[in-house]
Amino acid sequence: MSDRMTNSEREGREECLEALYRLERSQQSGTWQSLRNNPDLSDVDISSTLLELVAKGDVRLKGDEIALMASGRLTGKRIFRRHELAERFFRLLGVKHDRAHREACRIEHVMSLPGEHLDGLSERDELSLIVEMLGQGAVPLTQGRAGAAYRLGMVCGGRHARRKLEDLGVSRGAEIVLTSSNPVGPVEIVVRGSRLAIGRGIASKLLVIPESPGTPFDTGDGERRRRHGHGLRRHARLS
Amino acid sequence: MQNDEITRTHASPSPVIALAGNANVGKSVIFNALTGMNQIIGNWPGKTVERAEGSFVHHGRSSKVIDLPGIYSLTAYSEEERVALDFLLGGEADVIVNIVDATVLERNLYFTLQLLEMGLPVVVALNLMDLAERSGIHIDESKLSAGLGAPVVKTSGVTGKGINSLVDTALDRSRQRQGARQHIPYGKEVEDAISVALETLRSSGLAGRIPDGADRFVAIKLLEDDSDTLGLFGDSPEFEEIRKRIRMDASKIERIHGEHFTTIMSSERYSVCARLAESAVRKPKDHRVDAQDRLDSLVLHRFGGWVVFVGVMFALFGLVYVGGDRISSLLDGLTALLHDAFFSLHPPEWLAGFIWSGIIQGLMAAISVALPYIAPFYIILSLLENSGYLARIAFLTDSVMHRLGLHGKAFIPIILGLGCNVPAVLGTKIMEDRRTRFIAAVLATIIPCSARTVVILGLVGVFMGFLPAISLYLINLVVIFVVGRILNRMLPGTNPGLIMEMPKLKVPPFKVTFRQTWFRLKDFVTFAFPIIIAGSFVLYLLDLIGILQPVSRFLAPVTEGFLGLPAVSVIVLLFGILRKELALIMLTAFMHTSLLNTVMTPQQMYVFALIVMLYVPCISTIAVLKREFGSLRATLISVYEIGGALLLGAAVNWGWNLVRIIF
Repeated sequence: MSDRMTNSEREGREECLEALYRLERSQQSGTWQSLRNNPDLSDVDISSTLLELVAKGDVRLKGDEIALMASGRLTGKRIFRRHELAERFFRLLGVKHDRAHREACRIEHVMSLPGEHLDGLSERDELSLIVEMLGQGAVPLTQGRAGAAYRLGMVCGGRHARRKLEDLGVSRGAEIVLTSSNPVGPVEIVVRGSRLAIGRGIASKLLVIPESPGTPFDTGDGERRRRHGHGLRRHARLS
Repeated sequence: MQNDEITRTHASPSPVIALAGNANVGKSVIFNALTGMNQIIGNWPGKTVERAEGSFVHHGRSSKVIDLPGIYSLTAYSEEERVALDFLLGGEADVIVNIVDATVLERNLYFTLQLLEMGLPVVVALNLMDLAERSGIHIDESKLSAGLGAPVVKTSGVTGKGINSLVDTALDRSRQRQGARQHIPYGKEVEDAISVALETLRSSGLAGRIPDGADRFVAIKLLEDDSDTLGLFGDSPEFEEIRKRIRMDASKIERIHGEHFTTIMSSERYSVCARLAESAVRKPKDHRVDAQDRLDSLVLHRFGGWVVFVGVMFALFGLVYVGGDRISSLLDGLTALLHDAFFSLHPPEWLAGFIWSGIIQGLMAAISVALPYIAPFYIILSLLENSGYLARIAFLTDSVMHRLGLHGKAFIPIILGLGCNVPAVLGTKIMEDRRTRFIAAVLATIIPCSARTVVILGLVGVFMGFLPAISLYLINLVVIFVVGRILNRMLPGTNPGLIMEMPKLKVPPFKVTFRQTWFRLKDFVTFAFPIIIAGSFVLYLLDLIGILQPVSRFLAPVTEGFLGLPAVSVIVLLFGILRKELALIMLTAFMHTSLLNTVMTPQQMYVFALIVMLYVPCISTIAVLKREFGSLRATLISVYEIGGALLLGAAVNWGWNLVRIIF
């Protein structure tokens, strides 16, 4: 009984922090009023939740404004990112916008994302990219088919591995032909005419998109990636 | 005119040619073709990276060549890159010969572009043309040269074609005294950013610190937030200002594209590479399944590959043992002859001892370690590297190595360690990451080398039987795993994992193998022999002073009580540091019998062999460790291994006692 209560209290706090974070992102100030008008918070006892947040040091009250403190911002950001990913994922599956949003609101409190700190980039872009690639049928390299051709979507790994791979030709958009399909041991690929062996751990962090046209999930959001010869890549903006 | 050191003035009469390029493009073949026997192999000062330099005479004029490590980019993540970058920025080279694999041109040009960004005078050697022609690849070098803004010469290092032309072109270029004539433009956005950054740099007071022609390179590195690569500017606040300003411009672009500037630059470069390759290269339409692929489908096969591997290893090791054995007995005979010859001269007692026991014995010990064991394993290392099979071994063994916290490339040093630890420790240089290199080297010193095998088999094997000997090897295996785990936990950093180019399988050129081995041996002799002889001399002195016997008596409570071994073991183990086999030899000598089972219990023999197996690498290995990783680490490794071995020996001794009491 009390477990469920503490859980829903925690969710309430996270929901508030997420709402405050969204407001902060869009350069708006968080006020008690804006929270009350937020449909996502309709089930939340805003006054007592706010008091808890102040007590925990996650927010500070400045007159009419509710300001996020560092710890509160961190939590808000985390929940926000999870929500975004979950919502886009549901939309990919064909779930309607409102329902996707509501489901995401529920799932954001229990799911967790690996690597919640990303490399100095706007996390929103990296996540959007990953979701877009999933829509194009992206798989980790370790799940590729032998003999099939792929384009590199993203390296979900550390900067060192990413750099080393780039130096060897495995850069975003590069064509990769998978030449081995052993379930164990390094993965063998051909990139820009050179044969590379990549350890399984790193290979599982390479997200690659199959080269064949007409992939099953076509969100229609994306602009087709241009292959080499044209310099910078532009990314689709998610609506 | 043949000097062994490179003069550092720019007005040097001997032009300095640097060979730069990816690994496995045939750089060492070309280096050897140029320098022949006029080369020195050593290490870059303070680094574990091999350095090869030499000289040659062309049309009556002498030139110096330096072979830079095989690298893929100029960001100093690894020691190899650091070494190459520092050298190139230092301005020592008069011309850079960029050796490029004609069969993998597009990827190789990535590095070429970075060299050109540095504004260096570059001549491109389009190497492996013989392989390219065989695969039906045609390259128009004039188009390539026009696109790059640098001369391009087709070469085939293995057959020697094009080398003369390459040298002519390189020397011509070096005389022109100016850097790259034009730069290759990237996309508009990037070029604009570079121009702004250049302007910022030029209007600052720091412009003077940038080497000639390298300002474009510096601007790009600052945009990429890579100023550690440079180290040119130090900590001045003015530099901080500039760095921040340039980074702010860069992050604007990064935000638009959602990528780090490094990745953006990388894409730009690859666009240019693709464009250049497309214009200059004609490849055959279909991918012919050639002999290479067929061979690899066997060599890399999950099961077949291991069969091939075991076969190759048996063949190589077999040759070494047979050959090494012969040479070893030859040397023993030689030593005996020398001994008789020396003493037949009837030198005075004190002089005889001094020269013979102090110096010559040490020398003979060093030679009898080096020749039968180190040389053949250097040969094996060279053969494996140059044939491309080494990469395939790394491929096969990668998953196993991961359990040890290493990756596939670590397997070769470990396997070599079964023969001799010295080439094993040296073989760790093939790993890019310093941390994994160190772990692999430490584990290599715990691998039972052939000298230790002599003790194990000669003592426990002969007098106790096959199974007890095997059990010792099993204990060794466990220790390796445990130490590997501990080191992985303790040392900061992570195991990077295998990312490796698979070179083509080729017949290793005999001359290159021979010369590499020869000069590596020379290098070993230079740094190790003095240490070995000094060590032997010290032991002799200690013996002379008469301190050994009293010390062993003093330590007897520890030796006999704690370890359960005869008191003389201390002296014997001390000599074992010189050469592990000496431990057995001297034990026999001190016990006055080779039938050791009459003077030692099986328990004592077992514990003794265990300690010899684990206690400290032999002095040659310590010398190599010191050379590669520094005196501190070498000392730490030795101390830990001695401590660990003694503790383990004591544990086994007391465990045995306990078992005996119970039963």
